[in-house]
Amino acid sequence: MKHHLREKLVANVSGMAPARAMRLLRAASVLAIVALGMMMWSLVDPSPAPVLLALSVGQVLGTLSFVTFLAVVGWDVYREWRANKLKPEADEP
Amino acid sequence: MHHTSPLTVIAALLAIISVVLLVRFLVLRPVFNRNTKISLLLGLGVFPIGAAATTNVEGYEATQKRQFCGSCHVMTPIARDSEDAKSAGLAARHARNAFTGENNCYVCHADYGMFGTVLTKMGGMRHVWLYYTEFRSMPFEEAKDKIHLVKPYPNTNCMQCHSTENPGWLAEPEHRASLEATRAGTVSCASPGCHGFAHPNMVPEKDRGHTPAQLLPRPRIDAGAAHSLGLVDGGAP
Repeated sequence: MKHHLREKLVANVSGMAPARAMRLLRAASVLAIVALGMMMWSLVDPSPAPVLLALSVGQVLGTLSFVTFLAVVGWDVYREWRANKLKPEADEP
Repeated sequence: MHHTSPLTVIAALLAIISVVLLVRFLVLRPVFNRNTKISLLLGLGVFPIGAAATTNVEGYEATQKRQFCGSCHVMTPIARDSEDAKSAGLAARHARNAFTGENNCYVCHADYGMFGTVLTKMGGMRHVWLYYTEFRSMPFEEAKDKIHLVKPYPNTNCMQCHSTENPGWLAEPEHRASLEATRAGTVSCASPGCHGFAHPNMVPEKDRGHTPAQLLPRPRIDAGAAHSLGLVDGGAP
Protein backbone atom coordinates (compact mmCIF):
# COMPACT_ATOMS: atom_id res chain seq x y z
CA MET A 1 0.00 0.00 0.00
CA LYS A 2 2.78 2.41 1.03
CA HIS A 3 4.83 1.40 -2.00
CA HIS A 4 1.85 2.02 -4.28
CA LEU A 5 1.21 5.50 -2.85
CA ARG A 6 4.80 6.57 -3.32
CA GLU A 7 4.80 5.42 -6.92
CA LYS A 8 1.62 7.36 -7.52
CA LEU A 9 3.08 10.49 -5.92
CA VAL A 10 6.23 10.29 -8.05
CA ALA A 11 4.13 9.86 -11.17
CA ASN A 12 1.88 12.78 -10.26
CA VAL A 13 4.69 15.18 -9.45
CA SER A 14 6.59 14.19 -12.59
CA GLY A 15 3.64 14.29 -14.92
CA MET A 16 1.59 17.22 -13.67
CA ALA A 17 4.26 19.87 -13.32
CA PRO A 18 5.32 20.38 -16.96
CA ALA A 19 1.79 20.98 -18.20
CA ARG A 20 1.07 23.59 -15.55
CA ALA A 21 4.57 25.02 -15.96
CA MET A 22 4.11 25.40 -19.70
CA ARG A 23 0.80 27.21 -19.23
CA LEU A 24 2.41 29.63 -16.78
CA LEU A 25 5.40 30.15 -19.06
CA ARG A 26 3.17 30.86 -22.03
CA ALA A 27 1.32 33.46 -19.96
CA ALA A 28 4.65 34.93 -18.83
CA SER A 29 5.83 35.11 -22.45
CA VAL A 30 2.70 37.00 -23.48
CA LEU A 31 3.15 39.42 -20.56
CA ALA A 32 6.78 39.99 -21.52
CA ILE A 33 5.86 40.66 -25.16
CA VAL A 34 3.26 43.22 -24.04
CA ALA A 35 5.81 44.86 -21.72
CA LEU A 36 8.43 44.98 -24.47
CA GLY A 37 5.84 46.47 -26.82
CA MET A 38 5.19 49.28 -24.32
CA MET A 39 8.92 49.93 -24.01
CA MET A 40 9.32 50.10 -27.78
CA TRP A 41 6.32 52.43 -28.07
CA SER A 42 7.97 54.82 -25.59
CA LEU A 43 11.15 54.83 -27.67
CA VAL A 44 9.32 55.53 -30.92
CA ASP A 45 6.95 58.13 -29.42
CA PRO A 46 8.59 59.70 -26.34
CA SER A 47 5.50 61.61 -25.16
CA PRO A 48 4.02 61.42 -21.62
CA ALA A 49 1.53 58.56 -22.04
CA PRO A 50 3.87 56.00 -23.68
CA VAL A 51 6.86 56.93 -21.50
CA LEU A 52 4.86 56.71 -18.26
CA LEU A 53 3.23 53.46 -19.35
CA ALA A 54 6.61 51.94 -20.17
CA LEU A 55 8.15 53.09 -16.90
CA SER A 56 5.25 51.84 -14.78
CA VAL A 57 2.98 49.17 -16.29
CA GLY A 58 5.72 47.91 -18.61
CA GLN A 59 8.11 47.43 -15.72
CA VAL A 60 5.50 45.64 -13.60
CA LEU A 61 4.50 43.26 -16.41
CA GLY A 62 8.12 42.53 -17.31
CA THR A 63 9.05 41.87 -13.69
CA LEU A 64 5.98 39.68 -13.21
CA SER A 65 6.87 37.58 -16.25
CA PHE A 66 10.46 37.07 -15.08
CA VAL A 67 9.35 36.21 -11.52
CA THR A 68 6.91 33.68 -13.01
CA PHE A 69 9.76 32.12 -14.99
CA LEU A 70 11.95 31.92 -11.87
CA ALA A 71 9.10 30.40 -9.86
CA VAL A 72 8.43 27.77 -12.52
CA VAL A 73 12.11 26.87 -12.81
CA GLY A 74 12.40 26.73 -9.02
CA TRP A 75 9.34 24.52 -8.85
CA ASP A 76 10.77 22.28 -11.60
CA VAL A 77 14.09 21.91 -9.80
CA TYR A 78 12.24 21.05 -6.60
CA ARG A 79 10.05 18.57 -8.49
CA GLU A 80 13.07 16.77 -9.95
CA TRP A 81 14.82 16.74 -6.60
CA ARG A 82 11.70 15.33 -4.96
CA ALA A 83 11.27 12.71 -7.65
CA ASN A 84 14.90 11.62 -7.39
CA LYS A 85 14.61 11.43 -3.64
CA LEU A 86 11.50 9.29 -3.74
CA LYS A 87 12.48 6.98 -6.60
CA PRO A 88 15.19 4.87 -4.87
CA GLU A 89 12.95 4.37 -1.88
CA ALA A 90 10.07 3.33 -4.13
CA ASP A 91 12.29 0.77 -5.88
CA GLU A 92 13.19 -0.88 -2.60
CA PRO A 93 11.62 -4.34 -2.16
CA MET B 1 15.89 66.39 -37.18
CA HIS B 2 15.15 63.39 -35.01
CA HIS B 3 18.28 61.83 -33.62
CA THR B 4 18.30 58.13 -32.78
CA SER B 5 20.61 57.50 -29.87
CA PRO B 6 22.76 54.34 -29.59
CA LEU B 7 20.78 53.38 -26.48
CA THR B 8 17.56 53.36 -28.50
CA VAL B 9 19.15 51.03 -31.05
CA ILE B 10 20.46 48.73 -28.29
CA ALA B 11 17.05 48.66 -26.54
CA ALA B 12 15.30 47.89 -29.83
CA LEU B 13 17.73 45.07 -30.68
CA LEU B 14 17.41 43.48 -27.24
CA ALA B 15 13.62 43.71 -27.40
CA ILE B 16 13.50 42.20 -30.89
CA ILE B 17 15.70 39.26 -29.84
CA SER B 18 13.48 38.69 -26.78
CA VAL B 19 10.31 38.78 -28.83
CA VAL B 20 11.75 36.33 -31.38
CA LEU B 21 12.68 33.90 -28.59
CA LEU B 22 9.29 34.24 -26.91
CA VAL B 23 7.27 33.91 -30.12
CA ARG B 24 9.32 30.84 -31.01
CA PHE B 25 8.45 29.36 -27.61
CA LEU B 26 4.76 30.18 -28.02
CA VAL B 27 4.50 28.82 -31.56
CA LEU B 28 6.74 25.73 -31.41
CA ARG B 29 5.74 24.72 -27.87
CA PRO B 30 9.00 22.88 -27.14
CA VAL B 31 9.50 20.38 -24.31
CA PHE B 32 10.40 21.99 -20.99
CA ASN B 33 14.00 20.84 -20.98
CA ARG B 34 17.35 22.50 -20.33
CA ASN B 35 17.49 24.22 -23.74
CA THR B 36 13.99 25.66 -23.28
CA LYS B 37 14.95 26.96 -19.85
CA ILE B 38 18.05 28.68 -21.21
CA SER B 39 16.09 30.12 -24.13
CA LEU B 40 13.45 31.48 -21.72
CA LEU B 41 16.07 32.78 -19.32
CA LEU B 42 17.35 34.89 -22.22
CA GLY B 43 13.88 35.75 -23.57
CA LEU B 44 12.21 36.55 -20.24
CA GLY B 45 15.22 37.63 -18.19
CA VAL B 46 18.51 38.71 -19.69
CA PHE B 47 17.38 40.53 -22.84
CA PRO B 48 14.23 42.15 -21.40
CA ILE B 49 16.19 43.38 -18.37
CA GLY B 50 18.72 44.92 -20.75
CA ALA B 51 15.93 46.43 -22.84
CA ALA B 52 14.19 47.77 -19.70
CA ALA B 53 17.39 49.31 -18.37
CA THR B 54 18.17 51.12 -21.61
CA THR B 55 14.52 52.14 -22.05
CA ASN B 56 14.52 53.57 -18.52
CA VAL B 57 17.55 55.71 -19.29
CA GLU B 58 16.04 56.83 -22.59
CA GLY B 59 12.67 57.48 -20.93
CA TYR B 60 14.29 59.49 -18.17
CA GLU B 61 16.18 61.58 -20.73
CA ALA B 62 13.04 61.99 -22.83
CA THR B 63 11.21 63.47 -19.83
CA GLN B 64 13.82 66.25 -19.69
CA LYS B 65 13.30 67.42 -23.25
CA ARG B 66 11.17 70.39 -24.28
CA GLN B 67 9.49 68.21 -26.91
CA PHE B 68 8.16 66.03 -24.05
CA CYS B 69 6.86 68.98 -22.02
CA GLY B 70 5.35 70.60 -25.10
CA SER B 71 3.51 67.48 -26.19
CA CYS B 72 0.55 68.36 -23.92
CA HIS B 73 -1.53 70.92 -25.81
CA VAL B 74 -1.65 73.38 -22.89
CA MET B 75 2.16 73.48 -22.90
CA THR B 76 2.64 73.52 -26.67
CA PRO B 77 2.42 77.36 -27.06
CA ILE B 78 4.96 77.77 -24.24
CA ALA B 79 7.33 75.33 -25.91
CA ARG B 80 6.80 77.10 -29.25
CA ASP B 81 7.68 80.43 -27.65
CA SER B 82 10.90 78.82 -26.40
CA GLU B 83 11.71 77.76 -29.94
CA ASP B 84 10.94 81.19 -31.39
CA ALA B 85 14.27 82.77 -32.34
CA LYS B 86 12.69 86.24 -32.07
CA SER B 87 11.14 85.75 -28.64
CA ALA B 88 12.66 87.83 -25.84
CA GLY B 89 11.12 85.71 -23.08
CA LEU B 90 13.45 84.25 -20.48
CA ALA B 91 12.60 80.70 -21.52
CA ALA B 92 13.38 81.42 -25.18
CA ARG B 93 16.67 83.08 -24.28
CA HIS B 94 17.64 80.01 -22.27
CA ALA B 95 16.59 77.71 -25.11
CA ARG B 96 19.13 79.49 -27.31
CA ASN B 97 21.81 78.72 -24.73
CA ALA B 98 23.76 75.57 -25.55
CA PHE B 99 23.87 74.49 -21.89
CA THR B 100 20.10 74.43 -21.39
CA GLY B 101 19.13 74.06 -25.06
CA GLU B 102 16.35 71.56 -25.73
CA ASN B 103 16.23 70.69 -22.00
CA ASN B 104 15.45 74.27 -20.97
CA CYS B 105 12.10 73.41 -19.33
CA TYR B 106 13.70 70.83 -17.07
CA VAL B 107 16.88 72.78 -16.31
CA CYS B 108 14.91 75.82 -15.10
CA HIS B 109 12.01 74.02 -13.38
CA ALA B 110 13.89 71.14 -11.74
CA ASP B 111 14.29 71.27 -8.00
CA TYR B 112 17.82 71.01 -6.75
CA GLY B 113 19.35 69.38 -3.71
CA MET B 114 19.75 65.79 -2.62
CA PHE B 115 16.22 64.70 -3.48
CA GLY B 116 15.73 67.29 -6.22
CA THR B 117 15.33 64.78 -9.04
CA VAL B 118 12.83 62.69 -7.10
CA LEU B 119 10.83 65.77 -6.06
CA THR B 120 10.87 67.06 -9.64
CA LYS B 121 9.61 63.74 -10.97
CA MET B 122 6.88 63.66 -8.32
CA GLY B 123 5.88 67.16 -9.38
CA GLY B 124 5.86 65.95 -12.97
CA MET B 125 3.50 63.11 -12.07
CA ARG B 126 1.22 65.70 -10.50
CA HIS B 127 1.27 67.63 -13.78
CA VAL B 128 0.33 64.48 -15.71
CA TRP B 129 -2.51 63.79 -13.27
CA LEU B 130 -3.80 67.36 -13.57
CA TYR B 131 -3.56 67.20 -17.35
CA TYR B 132 -5.61 64.03 -17.67
CA THR B 133 -8.15 65.03 -15.00
CA GLU B 134 -8.60 68.77 -15.70
CA PHE B 135 -6.90 70.20 -18.75
CA ARG B 136 -7.09 67.50 -21.39
CA SER B 137 -10.22 68.85 -23.04
CA MET B 138 -9.67 72.49 -22.14
CA PRO B 139 -8.66 74.98 -24.87
CA PHE B 140 -5.33 76.69 -24.28
CA GLU B 141 -6.87 80.17 -24.00
CA GLU B 142 -9.02 78.95 -21.13
CA ALA B 143 -6.30 76.82 -19.56
CA LYS B 144 -3.66 79.54 -19.49
CA ASP B 145 -5.68 81.53 -16.96
CA LYS B 146 -5.87 78.50 -14.69
CA ILE B 147 -2.32 77.16 -15.00
CA HIS B 148 -0.09 78.55 -12.31
CA LEU B 149 3.05 77.61 -10.42
CA VAL B 150 2.32 75.69 -7.24
CA LYS B 151 4.82 77.94 -5.42
CA PRO B 152 6.68 81.12 -6.40
CA TYR B 153 9.55 80.44 -8.77
CA PRO B 154 12.67 80.22 -6.57
CA ASN B 155 15.72 82.31 -7.43
CA THR B 156 17.84 79.38 -6.22
CA ASN B 157 16.99 77.67 -9.49
CA CYS B 158 18.49 80.62 -11.40
CA MET B 159 21.43 80.72 -9.02
CA GLN B 160 22.47 77.18 -9.89
CA CYS B 161 24.02 78.72 -13.01
CA HIS B 162 24.03 82.43 -12.20
CA SER B 163 25.83 82.27 -8.88
CA THR B 164 25.53 86.03 -8.12
CA GLU B 165 29.22 85.88 -7.26
CA ASN B 166 30.88 86.63 -10.59
CA PRO B 167 32.38 90.08 -11.09
CA GLY B 168 30.52 90.45 -14.39
CA TRP B 169 27.22 89.88 -12.67
CA LEU B 170 28.11 92.16 -9.75
CA ALA B 171 29.19 94.87 -12.18
CA GLU B 172 25.55 95.46 -13.03
CA PRO B 173 24.32 98.28 -10.76
CA GLU B 174 20.83 96.75 -10.59
CA HIS B 175 22.28 93.46 -9.42
CA ARG B 176 24.33 95.15 -6.75
CA ALA B 177 21.33 97.17 -5.59
CA SER B 178 19.15 94.08 -5.19
CA LEU B 179 21.84 91.60 -4.22
CA GLU B 180 20.53 90.61 -0.80
CA ALA B 181 16.92 90.57 -1.94
CA THR B 182 17.85 88.43 -4.94
CA ARG B 183 19.75 85.92 -2.83
CA ALA B 184 16.98 85.85 -0.23
CA GLY B 185 14.39 85.34 -2.96
CA THR B 186 12.31 88.36 -2.01
CA VAL B 187 12.82 89.84 -5.48
CA SER B 188 12.29 87.44 -8.35
CA CYS B 189 14.78 87.38 -11.23
CA ALA B 190 11.82 86.68 -13.52
CA SER B 191 9.81 89.68 -12.35
CA PRO B 192 8.71 92.44 -14.74
CA GLY B 193 11.17 94.93 -13.24
CA CYS B 194 14.16 92.64 -13.75
CA HIS B 195 14.52 90.08 -16.54
CA GLY B 196 10.88 89.98 -17.54
CA PHE B 197 8.50 87.10 -17.91
CA ALA B 198 9.76 83.61 -18.62
CA HIS B 199 6.75 82.80 -20.78
CA PRO B 200 5.32 86.07 -22.17
CA ASN B 201 2.45 84.30 -23.94
CA MET B 202 1.14 83.10 -20.57
CA VAL B 203 0.85 86.69 -19.33
CA PRO B 204 -2.35 88.65 -19.99
CA GLU B 205 -2.01 91.16 -22.83
CA LYS B 206 -2.47 94.17 -20.54
CA ASP B 207 0.52 93.17 -18.43
CA ARG B 208 2.93 92.60 -21.30
CA GLY B 209 3.86 96.20 -21.97
CA HIS B 210 6.92 96.14 -19.76
CA THR B 211 10.30 95.85 -21.42
CA PRO B 212 12.63 93.61 -19.46
CA ALA B 213 15.69 95.35 -18.08
CA GLN B 214 17.90 93.00 -20.07
CA LEU B 215 16.47 94.42 -23.29
CA LEU B 216 17.02 98.06 -22.33
CA PRO B 217 20.30 99.84 -23.14
CA ARG B 218 22.99 98.39 -20.88
CA PRO B 219 24.01 100.58 -17.95
CA ARG B 220 27.54 101.84 -17.96
CA ILE B 221 29.94 99.81 -15.89
CA ASP B 222 31.61 102.00 -13.30
CA ALA B 223 35.37 102.40 -13.31
CA GLY B 224 36.00 100.19 -10.26
CA ALA B 225 34.01 97.26 -11.64
CA ALA B 226 35.53 97.68 -15.09
CA HIS B 227 38.98 97.57 -13.55
CA SER B 228 38.17 94.46 -11.53
CA LEU B 229 36.90 92.80 -14.70
CA GLY B 230 40.09 93.68 -16.55
CA LEU B 231 38.13 95.67 -19.11
CA VAL B 232 40.49 98.65 -18.79
CA ASP B 233 44.21 98.83 -18.89
CA GLY B 234 45.26 99.82 -15.41
CA GLY B 235 48.84 100.31 -16.49
CA ALA B 236 50.11 97.51 -14.32
CA PRO B 237 52.77 95.33 -15.82
